[in-house]
Amino acid sequence: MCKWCLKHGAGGKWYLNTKNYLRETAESVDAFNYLEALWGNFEKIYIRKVLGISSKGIDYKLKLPIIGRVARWYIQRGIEKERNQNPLTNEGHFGQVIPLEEAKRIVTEMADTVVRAICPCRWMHRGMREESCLAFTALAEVLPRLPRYIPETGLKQLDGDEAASFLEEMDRRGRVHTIWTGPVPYIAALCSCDYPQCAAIRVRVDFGIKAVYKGEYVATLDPDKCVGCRKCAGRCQFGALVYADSLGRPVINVEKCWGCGLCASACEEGAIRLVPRDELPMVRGVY
Amino acid sequence: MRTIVEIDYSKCTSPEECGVCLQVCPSAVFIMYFTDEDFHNPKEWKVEAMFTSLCSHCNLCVKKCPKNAISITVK
Repeated sequence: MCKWCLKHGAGGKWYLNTKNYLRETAESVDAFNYLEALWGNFEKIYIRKVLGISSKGIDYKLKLPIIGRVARWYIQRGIEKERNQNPLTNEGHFGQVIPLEEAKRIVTEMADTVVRAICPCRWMHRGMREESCLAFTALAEVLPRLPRYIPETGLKQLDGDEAASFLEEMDRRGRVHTIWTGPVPYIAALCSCDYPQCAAIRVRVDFGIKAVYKGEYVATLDPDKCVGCRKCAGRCQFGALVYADSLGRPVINVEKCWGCGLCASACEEGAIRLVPRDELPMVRGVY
Repeated sequence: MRTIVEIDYSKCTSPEECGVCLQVCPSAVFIMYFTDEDFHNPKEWKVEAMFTSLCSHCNLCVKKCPKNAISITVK
């Protein structure tokens, strides 16, 4: 279990704790004002100065020996901040990768209001308006005040089954499911991400900033069940699963695995299975 | 080696109307943001080359830009 599970999980996983979805929790951390400022200024988060340093060319600056290390520590500290979070610098807003089954459980059993919104990452990075974010109670209430994130068809409230079938469709298309705080511990959104359009996966993969944590699982392959159909090949966005032609089956690098379960959901033979990260000593506690 | 992606803002139109560079870049180097402080009504959007270290010099943005506003140099 990760540190957020220990703090906000009530004995389980933090994102499966119903308390983190309640309106009362949102009110206690002032999520309404926070989310309006965060989503309202989303495109400017990169542009703002970090420790007085302009973010332009931040990728080169993060590679500098001392300044880079300080800036990295400062950004990470902000992301994990639990008090007095400043939404304009993305404080207290992080995500974690979750498998499809848990994502479906969240939209059917835990979140009260679910609406589909325009993904701010894709809008910012690609200028495209794609309805791939599921916004929960507080965010759904704030969104009508942010017209650029409202789909052409309007903000339609989804019931549990509609949201679950939407997630299945996204999984089929190869999207990674991620759950998002806003601010921690309140859970505001469930996204369907892909690299490099997702701002968080981008900074994690390319710059090592943990704006999104790896999931609680890793994928493992049962070579006896694998028939070598290659359906899993090409599903992995993190370079963890490659199809080894000479073996006639894929090989999985658990160190690179994020536990999104995309390879497992593509496998018709049930040869790829998600196992809890804690069961494998090599990746235990590595998020 | 450092890649510098320069955008000539006197030629560049609103990314909301155009956005070609945003969409063609294979490593999503560009982002767009609004310069107006009132985020309820964003008017002036701008394109910025944010992650130039990830630029692979494929020059797709230079070729596809309808206004020829982008230039890539290596220093």
